[in-house]
Amino acid sequence: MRLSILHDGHAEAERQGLEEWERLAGPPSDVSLALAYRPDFFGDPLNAWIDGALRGESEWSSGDRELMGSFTAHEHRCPFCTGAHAAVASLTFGDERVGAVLADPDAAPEGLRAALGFISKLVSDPAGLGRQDAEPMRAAGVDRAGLEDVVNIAAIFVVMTRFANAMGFEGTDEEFAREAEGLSVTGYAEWRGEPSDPETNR
Amino acid sequence: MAIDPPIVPTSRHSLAVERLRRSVLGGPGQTDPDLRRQVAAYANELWRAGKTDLPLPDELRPYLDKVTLAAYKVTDEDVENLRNGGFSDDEILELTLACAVGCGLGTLGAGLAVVGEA
Repeated sequence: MRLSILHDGHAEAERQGLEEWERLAGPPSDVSLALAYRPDFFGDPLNAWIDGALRGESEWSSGDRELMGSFTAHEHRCPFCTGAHAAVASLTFGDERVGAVLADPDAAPEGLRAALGFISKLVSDPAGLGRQDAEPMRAAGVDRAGLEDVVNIAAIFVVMTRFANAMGFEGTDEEFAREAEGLSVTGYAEWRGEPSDPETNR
Repeated sequence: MAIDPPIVPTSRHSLAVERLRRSVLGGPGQTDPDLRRQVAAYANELWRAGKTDLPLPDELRPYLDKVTLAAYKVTDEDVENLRNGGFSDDEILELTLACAVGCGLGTLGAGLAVVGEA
């Protein structure tokens, strides 16, 4: 990472949290380190937004939403976020299906395919986006709340890919897979003291 | 003169977005919150329209243009140039996040504007 403060500049409470994390789940990834640095400023509010949009109640499955996130990151040429969230989506769909959809969004089923087409237009030509670009999702039966989820997921990954690419996050497929397993247990908001509800995995 | 990124239409995740916006663009930090809001407004417009006439300190423009439009092109040298210009790592972090959040708010603005009821 380009800023050493994100690697080892943490305050005592966060440093202890990271050590506990490492005992349970192995060395924290660059994104875990970065979000644990001054978490009140960015990491905690960001994780709360992610938890609501990717794990909250939705007509989209968590796997669908993780794949939307990975796809948005792929569109931004952010290998870290693409790989990290592809690993989470793979827990639902398997590596092969996730890889196929990232390579060609037309390989996705109708509703998801429509969402990925919308995201692609939104992040590449926001000024040219119109109501007609949301029509394929409406035609696939996606309701207003589902449409809002898609927009929020795209926005989250617009933020995160800029952060990850500018700060130079690095990771391996092995690390992504390990952290995806951990995330499937804790959810996004837990480890900084906002426990997940085991009944709902939120 | 304080400049703010445009107001974003509401969605079911607006409370979380507002919490993030207040923290990164208004919370305590090493940089002046007015500068963070200025950065976010600049990035928001640049991201949405591909250009902007909004003001931004000259020394920040090359780096923040890159973060806004092609963050994958950021290099070690870009960050080193900011350090050589007197910015601390915490200041670079805060301004990077303000820029990223400005782009995220732009995404919400553009996307939510077209998913509303007919």
